[in-house]
Amino acid sequence: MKRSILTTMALGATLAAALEGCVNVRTPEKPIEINLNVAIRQEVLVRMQRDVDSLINSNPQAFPQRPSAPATTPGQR
Amino acid sequence: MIARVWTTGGAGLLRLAAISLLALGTTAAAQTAYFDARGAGQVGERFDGYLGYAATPAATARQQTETINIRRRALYTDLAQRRGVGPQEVGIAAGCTLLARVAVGEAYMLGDNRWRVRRAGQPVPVPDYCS
Repeated sequence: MKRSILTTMALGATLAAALEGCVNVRTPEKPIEINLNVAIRQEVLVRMQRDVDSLINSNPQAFPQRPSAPATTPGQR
Repeated sequence: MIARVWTTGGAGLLRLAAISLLALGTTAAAQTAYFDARGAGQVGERFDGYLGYAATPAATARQQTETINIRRRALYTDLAQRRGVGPQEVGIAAGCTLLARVAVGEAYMLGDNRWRVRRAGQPVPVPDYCS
């Protein structure tokens, strides 16, 4: 009986350690993924910028601008 | 669908006209509740080219915001297909321009998924990856 309790405790500890291991492995992965995605897209972003700007300017219903708001100048960025 | 319009005849056409008028009305008024919520920092631009909620806006503002996002999705998808890139990439490219338009007092969300408010004297919140 004593032995079985000890075994259960040992198993529990092993399980807890294993779970902790999983969490530790997962946490650093997230931000790296985001950075990689952005790095891959940058080339496409540069290529798409002009198309996207004309899309935004010609579709005020999807990109509404307050009449009083000053227009975005290209040099702002 | 077409058959039903024909059988109802004039009444159906009238109903269609009424729906169109209603749609026009909401488009014109549309932007007011959305602009108010945006000015209050409840609705803001996200890095992915869509609007999001930094706080819960009024029901009308939410409805108008959803409509804008649906229109954006359609435009991004269409442009992406024409250029052979992903719609997400088009959205992020649009996000660069849209974040540059964020005014003082408005909320915005970058790639870290956190909402911030552009304070007076702060530059426009354009991410590094934007050209």
